Amino acid sequence: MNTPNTDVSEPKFPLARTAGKLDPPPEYSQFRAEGPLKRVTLWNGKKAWLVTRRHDVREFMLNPNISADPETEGYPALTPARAATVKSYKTILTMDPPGHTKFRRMLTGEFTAQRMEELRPRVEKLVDELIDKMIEKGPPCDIVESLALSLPISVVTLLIGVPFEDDSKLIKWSADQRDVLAEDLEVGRRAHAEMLAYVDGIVARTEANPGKGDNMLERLVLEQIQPGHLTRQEAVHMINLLYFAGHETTANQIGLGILDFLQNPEQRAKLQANPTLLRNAIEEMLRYNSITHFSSSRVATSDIVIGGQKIRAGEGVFALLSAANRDPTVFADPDKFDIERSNAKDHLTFSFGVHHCLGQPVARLELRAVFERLFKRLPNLRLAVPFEELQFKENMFVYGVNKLPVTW
Amino acid sequence: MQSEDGAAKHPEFHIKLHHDRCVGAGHCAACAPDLFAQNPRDGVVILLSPNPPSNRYPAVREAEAQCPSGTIEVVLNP
Repeated sequence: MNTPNTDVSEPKFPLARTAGKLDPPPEYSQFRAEGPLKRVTLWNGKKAWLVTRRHDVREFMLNPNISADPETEGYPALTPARAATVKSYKTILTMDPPGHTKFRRMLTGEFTAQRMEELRPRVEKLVDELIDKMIEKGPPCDIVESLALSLPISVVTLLIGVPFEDDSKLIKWSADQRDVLAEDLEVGRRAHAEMLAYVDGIVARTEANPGKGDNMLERLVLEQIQPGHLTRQEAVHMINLLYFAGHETTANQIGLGILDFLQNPEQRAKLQANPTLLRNAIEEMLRYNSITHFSSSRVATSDIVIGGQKIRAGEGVFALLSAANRDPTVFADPDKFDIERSNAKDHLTFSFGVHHCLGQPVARLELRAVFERLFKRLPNLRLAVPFEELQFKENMFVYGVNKLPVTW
Repeated sequence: MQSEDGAAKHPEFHIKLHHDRCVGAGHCAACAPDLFAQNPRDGVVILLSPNPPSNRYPAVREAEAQCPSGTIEVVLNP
């Protein structure tokens, strides 16, 4: 018998959502109460630390002596599928400073407040058009497909400047790469290779005809590739990341955010009665849903102390954003979805430290555009199936709901 | 803290930036657009006013708390 996994003092990780599909694994509450660090056992028998308190997660993520690079000795692999693919993702997600800083700053200018203001009317128009289409077709519909997923795909196309010729391919490649519980490890590898080859074609075509720098891809070619700051291969990985990170996360948050309101009609009534709650409501759904539910994987590069407890160099750590967001010492009654929560914006959903989400202003812009309109235009929006029939993405790196059948 | 005329009393302070840490999140420019801006090229913070009036203290503390990279440091004047 395999004994390491039965040791209750060092339980298996990842854990299941046994308390409810909109709540993290219930063990997190116990770990948070017990101490600053919890030692867990991974699929391969290796040990890792969990950080679960908000203050500690923040402090840990700001510590310069941690690495997000899977090549660093001791980096913890969440599952076999993750171990099989994570080293091939050569992007800013898995780089450390100073290389990370260099590449990230090639992109940060694309996400400034001013750029977002330019993007806003186009995003708002897209939301209205998608809702128009839903109304035209009539109920019922899967609102994941017709709105939650369609919007971010259109927005990422606007941002990068080149459309995917076939959205269904993009969706499938993205999903295949992020199924952390996949048993056939070839599926993720193949999807990654196919998507890189496709994006390579997009970059090559833009290199041949870079235009005047009117979109992100043209600017990358003119300002970074041509002067020799960025290689074609590095650019391909970068654009690949932007395509999937730019749609998958926001799509799942829109879907879960709709569900949050459908499951909490009193909160929806509050938002409808008082639209000034919109901004805070968006922060609350980000806190409540914590969609990157296994993040963040790191390894200590020298001994560090968190909450008075030592993490040794070479030890793997999961700083659990989803646990931090339900820390009762920071968020009163943390398991309640409360759009009037005064400190909702103190969530760590976009992570913290150098890897703080690059696309967060776009995500916020899309979420505001959706929830400013959705219940105004479809005041009778409701689930078309019982909640218990919904299928959740417990196997995916980004949590969400597969389909959300609604009627109105 | 309240002064005699009822207005909140804030300490004298100045702002120190650690530019090398900046990730261009832009939270500071959202919290206090009169004090912080972003370089349009790389999103890196630009300090518009290193010694703001003391009544901007709460906004600057908020920018410091919201900054995800520890770039903004509020230093109280001796």
